[in-house]
This record gives sequence, C-alpha cells and structure tokens, in this order.
Amino acid sequence: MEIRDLLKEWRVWVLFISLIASTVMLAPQYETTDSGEYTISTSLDDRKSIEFSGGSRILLGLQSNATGEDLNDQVQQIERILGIRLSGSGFADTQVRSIDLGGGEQRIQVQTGSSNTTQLSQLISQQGSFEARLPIIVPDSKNFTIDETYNFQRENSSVTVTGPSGEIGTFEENDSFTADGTKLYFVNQTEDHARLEVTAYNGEEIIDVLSSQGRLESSGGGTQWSFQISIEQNAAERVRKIAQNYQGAIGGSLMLEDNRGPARLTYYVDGREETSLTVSSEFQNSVITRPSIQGGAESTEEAIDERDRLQALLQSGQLPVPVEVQSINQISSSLGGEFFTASIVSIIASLVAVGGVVYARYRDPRVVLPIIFTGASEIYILLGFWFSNFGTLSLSAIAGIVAAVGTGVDDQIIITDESTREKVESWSNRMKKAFFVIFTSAASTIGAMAPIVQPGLISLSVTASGIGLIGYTIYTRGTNLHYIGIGGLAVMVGLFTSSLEPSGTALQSIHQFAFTTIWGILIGITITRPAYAKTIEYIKQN
Amino acid sequence: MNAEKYFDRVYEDLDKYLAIPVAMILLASGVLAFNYATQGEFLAKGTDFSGGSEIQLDIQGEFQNSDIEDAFASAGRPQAEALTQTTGNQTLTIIELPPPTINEEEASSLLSDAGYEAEVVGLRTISAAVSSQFFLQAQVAFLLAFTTMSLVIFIAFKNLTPSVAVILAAFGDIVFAAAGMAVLGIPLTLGSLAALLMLIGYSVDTDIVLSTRVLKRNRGELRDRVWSSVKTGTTMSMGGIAGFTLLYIISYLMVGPSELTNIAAVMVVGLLADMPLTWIGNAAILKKYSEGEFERLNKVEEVIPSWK
Repeated sequence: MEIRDLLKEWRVWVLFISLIASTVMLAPQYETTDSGEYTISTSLDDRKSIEFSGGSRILLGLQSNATGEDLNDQVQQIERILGIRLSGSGFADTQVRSIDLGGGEQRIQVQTGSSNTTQLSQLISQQGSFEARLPIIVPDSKNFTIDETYNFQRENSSVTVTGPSGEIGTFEENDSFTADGTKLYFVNQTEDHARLEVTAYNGEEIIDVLSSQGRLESSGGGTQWSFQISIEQNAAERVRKIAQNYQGAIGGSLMLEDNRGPARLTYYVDGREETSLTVSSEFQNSVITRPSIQGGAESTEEAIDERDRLQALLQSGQLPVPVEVQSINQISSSLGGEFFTASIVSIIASLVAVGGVVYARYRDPRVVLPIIFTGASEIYILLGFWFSNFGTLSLSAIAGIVAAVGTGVDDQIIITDESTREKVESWSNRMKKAFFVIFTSAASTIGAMAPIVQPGLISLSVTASGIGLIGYTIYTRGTNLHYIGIGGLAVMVGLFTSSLEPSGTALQSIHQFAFTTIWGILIGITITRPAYAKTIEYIKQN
Repeated sequence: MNAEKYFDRVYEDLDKYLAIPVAMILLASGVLAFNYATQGEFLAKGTDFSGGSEIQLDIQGEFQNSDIEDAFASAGRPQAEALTQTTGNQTLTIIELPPPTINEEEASSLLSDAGYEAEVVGLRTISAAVSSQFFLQAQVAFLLAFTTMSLVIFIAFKNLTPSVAVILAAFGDIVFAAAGMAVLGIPLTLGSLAALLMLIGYSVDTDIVLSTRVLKRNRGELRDRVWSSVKTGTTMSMGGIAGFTLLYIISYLMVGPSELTNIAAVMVVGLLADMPLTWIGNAAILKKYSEGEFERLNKVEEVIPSWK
C-alpha cells in the first residue's frame, strides 16, 4: 500500500474530519470583560462541574405524604418557586431540578456556583410562609376591632375571646385562632399583661415585590435596608382598621396604650420572628397598598443579603410543603482549580505510561506513535464532541477518560498483534477476528456502564434478551439448550430489578464516568480504530 | 526467551497452577467474610452509602489529626475520622462524620470553640434516608451490569463452558478487587462502585482475547494460540495498570486521597488480579475444554433427544 492510498482511505478521512471538527468546537474565543480586558475562553470553561469550578449542590427532601401525580405536582411547584427565589437572590449559575431516586422517591436538587451553603440552604429550605403581625396587649380586658369588635378577657394564664356572634374560645400561650378570617396568635404573657398578635397581611396577599425601590442607609452602627411591596386592597384596608386600635400622633408612630411604647410591626417567616419595626401613624388615616418592608443589619453586606433573601422569599411565594436539606456537596473554587490541574496532568501522564508499556512490547516507534496518536485523538474528539456540547467535566469524567483511553489502547494492541500473525490468512479475515474481540469487549463494557445511567431501560433490555434467548432456543429446536436456563435467569433479574423501580438519577455523580467511557468506546469503534487498522496495514506492508 | 520458557512450564502443569487463582478467590472471599463477621458488612460504606458528613478544612497552626477527632468527640460528635490531604500549596484536613449531618456553621463554630482557626473549604453531607436509597440503586446497577456483561458473553461465545470461564474470571476480579478495597481501606463510594462496574467490562477484554484465539482459530497448536493471547493480553493489562497507577500517583501527589485515587486503586487491584485469573484460571478451563473434557456439558441436547 502506498502512502497515497492510505491518504485516500475514507477511514483516515473520517478521523481527520473528526479532529478538525473537534478543533472548531474547542477553539478558544476572545471575550471582553466589563472592565475592558480581553480574556480567552473555550467552550469547556462552562462545562466544568462544581468539583472543578467550585460551588454547591444541595439535595432537598419533601415532607409530604403525597404520592404519584400529587407528588409530581408538588415537586414541579417547588422547582418553580425555588427557581424564582434563586434568580432573585444573586446566586451565580443556579440550577434547580427534580431528581427521581427510584422507588417513587422524589428530591429537588439545587446547584449554584457559590460555595456559601449556609446562606443557600437557609434560602431554599425555608417554606416561605410570611406574615406581618401587629400586637394586641391585653392587661385584664381589651376591645380590639378588625372588621368587627372583639373582646379579650385575661384570666389566670388564659385569654377568652368573644366576638359579635358569641365566644370564639379560651386560649393559652402559643395557641392560634381565626377571627373575621384573620389569624391571631397568643404569643406570651407576663404578670401585667398578655401579648397577642394579629396578622396585618400575609405572603399570599402580596401582589408584587418592588425590588427596584430597594434602599440601603447607614445609620448608627449598622445599615438599614428597605423595599416596597404591593399588597391587595382588602389587606391594605385591614391594616388601616387594625392601625386604628392604636394611639397615633401626626407624623409619628403608632403607640400602644399606657405608655407601653410603639406598636411594632413584626415580620415572621415560617413562624419565626425575622425583624420588627415601628409603624407610621399614616396607616390609621389612609389605605396604603404599597407599604415598605424594613430591617437592619450590622454590615452593609449582611443588610444586602438579608434584604435580597426576604425579597426572594416574598417574590417566589410559599412552598406547598416544607422541605429539608438532605445532602450538601460544597467545594471552594481554589480547591476545585487544583483538582482540575491534577486531572489534566493525570490524563497526560497515563497516556505517557501507556506509551511506555507499548514501547516496551513492540520497540518500534512506527507502531508506538500511531497508538499514542490514536489514544490522544480519542481524548481530543471526546472533548470536542461530548464535553464541549453535552458532558460535564468532573472527577468521575476524568477517570472515565483514562478508562476510555485504556480500552482504546487495548483494542489497538489487539489489532497490532492480529496484524502480525498468521500471514497465511487474508488481512480482512485477521481484521474480522480482531474486530470480533473489539466489538464483544465494547458491548460488555457498555453493558456494564449503561445501568449507571439508564437502569430502567437496561432492566427491560435484560428481560427482553432473556425472552429472546428462550425464544431462539425453541425456534432452533434446542440449539444451545443452556440458553433456556440463562434466558430464564435474565428474565428473573430483569423483573426483579424492574420491581425496585430503578432510577438513573440516583447515581448521577458517576454519570459522567459512564457517559465518558461509553462515548469513548463508541468514538473508538466508529472513528479511531478503523483508521488505526488501516494505518497499521500500511505500516506492516511497508 | 525466558518468559516463553516460563510460560511453557506453567502451561504443561496448568492443572497444578490452577491452585493459584482458586487460592486467590478463596483468600479474597475469606477477607470479605471476615469483614462481614466483624463489621456486619462486606465492605465499609463511604459517606455516599452510609450517610453522614465529610468536611474539608483549612486549619491553622500545629495539630495532630487525633486532636481534631478529640475536639469533635468532646463536642458530642464521636467517631469523627480525620485525615490529611495535601494539595499543591495547602494542607487540608478531611473529617468524616457518621450521621446526623452537620452544616458549615456548626463545623466552624465547633472548631473555633475548641480553639482552632479553621475555614471550611469543602463540605459533603448526606442524610441516612438518601444514602440508603443510593445504596439500593447501586446494588441494582451492579446486578444489571454483571447480568448484561454475562449475556453479551453468552451470546458472543454461544457455548456454555467458555462463557462460564470468562464470567468466572470477571467474578473473581470483582471479588479480589473488593477484598483489595477492604485491605487498603478504600470505602465503597459512588466512585469505587463506578470502578467495580468498569472492572466488570474491562477485565473481560483479556478473557475475550484468549477465548477467541483458542476457540475461533484452527491454525497452530493450542499452546501457541494461548501464548499469543498471553502476549497480547499482558500488554493490554500492563497498559491499563500503568495508566491507572499514574492516575493514582499524580492525583495523590497533587490533591491527596480523593475519589480519583479510589477509582484508580480499585482498577489497579482488579487488573492485577485479572492476570492470574485469566492466564491460569480461564486458560486451564479452555485447555480442558479444547481437549474435550467438558463434552457432556456442551452436548446437553443429546441428553434430551426429543428436542431433535
């Protein structure tokens, strides 16, 4: 074979075209940053997992008894709400998705480029029920008007509430009850008085969060934050009626009776007190549909975090069921960067090591160089086709690359050895044998890796193959009779694993390992190995 | 050539040498059984499958890992395990804690209360409920992977004996690699599980070479066909072993023990075990098979003549 013939060979062309296409996909791009500096980036930069780029991944469990469709609805709702919360909170590169762990177990996964998991878990694990409450102080007896007037009688450790249509009930500390559709809470009591709270408005009555109206002000030793919200008309009217129960001064704040100080509006998220503030007496006179929410923190940074978190919570609304953090995976960007460098060096080193072994065996650079070149091409095409478009570069993907190179080099050794043997046999016969080994080993490796990604599908395939083997034996009237037993075993394994409702997402942290080896093998058997076989044919014949 | 002479000696007495792979599998099974008897599980489960927390900390000043473990124990978190991870320019301490999970703030304040200036650079926690679901799915994946590989082999080689020989060798590799994990203290994590699954597919490569050359080729002596596959297969295994050893060394030197070193170690142990299991175990079975010793097994149809 002449070199000209080799260059005319379509298998070699397929390899070169794949290499050129990979180069195009991996080509560095120049970008200008906000500060006007030029940076060089490749499509791989966006495809690094948090193990390399730093960030966090949190798995949330639902505290829900729902199953089937109802559970799916809840999961979708939570996904949407958390998506809104995260986009409004300033976390970079956020991603929210539902995860099916198999066996009907659903989880929500939240991933971001930030490694501040404390702040992140606080934001996403809150159910987000919001209430703004005003106090009702009951010394011994007290009348309080919402839509109707209610009488509060304190006796021993309880308070009896009576409305226009009779007694509502007798309540103790930590009890809550409803009057006029408004929720009231018995917070605590002292010797002197009982303290109750009435909900002025809640999260569901907030129409909009006007985040553009946000303000930060330094005052004293800290920073005050505020932003406006828009509430429903009837909620605003309720606030005015409640405000009229307090003493007010023009231009001043609402005050409690008997010099008990200002009547503070307290914000609660998931029943936990967040912050409280004085209320302008303006609320007694007008229906204010755009109240502002305020708070304070020690530093500007904390003030911004607090404000953004509350804005995000109010914007997104309340989760249908409470959630809890079940798994956290967090890594700093500096550590991630070191892992990335180590991984790249490891891949190059393993390629060199394989080259050393191959050289020790053949001692012929004409054979060793094509093997190394083919191995390197496989990584390059894998990076260009798979990683720059679909895959994620993670630690397990790196191990997958090394494994794919390993199987690739194995196959080239098989081709090389087959090419040097039994010259009496035709070249194509020898290659047929080599490719029988290559395809069988590719099928077994892909078969071993696929259950990581698609266990459900593989369960079905195993069952189907089992039935196929039994059918084949019956059809051929007893050829390979042991296929009946093996087919029966396969059907049993397939049915058993299907009954466990297997889910590929449960093993998602090793998905990239499986994908990388599977794609590496596929690229090998379709692109690089045929080209290598032709090249070795040329080398052997010359 | 020395290697070939040595091969001849082994090949002549292959039955006697069969004791080596049998002893290897027995030894490995013994290690796993011992683990099961003493710890209640064949392999120690890592955080992925047992639940708990793994915290990577940058702790200032001089300290022993046991000091950190004590700090956790005296704060009511016993059974903490601390190990050192040296990366390019910093030394990190990894703490592994059994469930219940801990969060970043709790870990930092626990250490600052104990008088350490520590920064949390990495944190992985997983609740017991999620990890047990992961473990169930991992077992399903493993069972499916082994079954799929076996089906591929049965379909490719058709005959019972050679197929079983290949599958036995793969099974032996996995058992030996699992015992290796127990001895080297590598826990069963998602990463090491991936390596075990990879071994299922990877380790049969050499067996396929051997079986194909022995069964699908008619020319030459059986001994020559086995010897040619030993040469090819050993180069293949050595390539894999060299690649994964380098992956282990480089990643250990640069970032210390990690999922990468776990994967690499499992692969190296499995591929090392694969050599005697293939070139002695599988070869012995195939030799006997070629000499017609398992004829009865492959002519099952004659036992039930009504099929014909």
